[in-house]
Amino acid sequence: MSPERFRSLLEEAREGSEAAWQELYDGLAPVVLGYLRSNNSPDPEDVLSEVFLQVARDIARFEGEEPGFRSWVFTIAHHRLIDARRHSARRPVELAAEPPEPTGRADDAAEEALARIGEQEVQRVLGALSEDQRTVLLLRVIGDLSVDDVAKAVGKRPGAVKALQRRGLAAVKRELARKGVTL
Amino acid sequence: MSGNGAYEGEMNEIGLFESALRAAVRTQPDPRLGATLVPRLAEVARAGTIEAETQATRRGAARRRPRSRLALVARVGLAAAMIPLVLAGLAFAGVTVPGPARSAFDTVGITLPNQTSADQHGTSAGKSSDEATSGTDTNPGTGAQSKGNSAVAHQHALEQRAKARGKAIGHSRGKAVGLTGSTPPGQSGETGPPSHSNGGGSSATHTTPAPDSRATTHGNANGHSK
Repeated sequence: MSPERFRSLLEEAREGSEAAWQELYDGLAPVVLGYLRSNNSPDPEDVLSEVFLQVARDIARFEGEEPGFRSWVFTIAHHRLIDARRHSARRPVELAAEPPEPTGRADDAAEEALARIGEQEVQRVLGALSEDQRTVLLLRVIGDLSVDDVAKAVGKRPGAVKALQRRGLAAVKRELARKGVTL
Repeated sequence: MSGNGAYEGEMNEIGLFESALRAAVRTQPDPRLGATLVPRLAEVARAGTIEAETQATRRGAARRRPRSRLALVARVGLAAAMIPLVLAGLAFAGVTVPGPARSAFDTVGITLPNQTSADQHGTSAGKSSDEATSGTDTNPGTGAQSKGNSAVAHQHALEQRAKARGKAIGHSRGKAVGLTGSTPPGQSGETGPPSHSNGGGSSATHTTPAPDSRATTHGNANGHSK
């Protein structure tokens, strides 16, 4: 998306255009939901709704371009994820229904199959990481956030984020080598 | 992402993992969620924008609003009126207020409390220190008593003077007699102290002139010892 197009989209979203919000939602909701699910968020679709409602409430105060907007949305998602974890820790455990299967992807069938095959292995490797390493890798890869943005989102120093990323990638390499997986 | 010194093969592996991660993690939310959420998002954003604009307008108006001149004058007047009140409060609390401030109060006929009279009058021009001293006399009997005291003291002083004069007489006479005698003192053959010697005797015994030179000499010695 060109910067001009993004600016006009942002202005329309501020004025309350449903079409603009639909475009923003379609562009960001899948990756945000993926981030929440991969990070073991309790009730990820509920958290996704809260994330977008906060984005809508505060969008009048946002200033910046598309990368900054993406980073801002993922920062909100990370904070809402922490809140949801705290809230679920206080609540008694309830047996919830399985989350609905993804109803479809934007990719074609070949990519869909590849993603499905890779998804199990990816989830296994992600499960082998520590929580901090997983958060940093997901925000860097899925959210396309810079090291500084990740540091702001998770409340750590950039040096600590780099160290977590380095250790996370080393753990990914180990896991891939251990299983003999070649992607 | 940087592999931080990883081999090229490992970097490719990581890159492939990242691609797989992107593909694997990306999941479409339930379309029903989007259908209900998007109109609500638009509504919330519209309300938020209106609220933000209202706040910005209020903030701007508050910043631009000029202050009333009357309010400024009232503030200055209030501050000026507070000065004498503060001074009076300090005086009530027992603090000695500086002279110029007290003079200002005196001018308008107000006497500040808890100010020492010496301080009060010390600053007033044309008042002598005697008046200031008499102003501190609160007991009328004190003057008479002091007068009586001074009379007693005067009498005592006269007595002392008379005694001293007696000594002086004895001294001069003794000396004169001793010196004019044929035998110089200490050469009369009497080496011991005189039988009537009283080293610590009263001076009254020596005021009377001694008939002989020894007594006079001893009287002289006693007179000197005192």
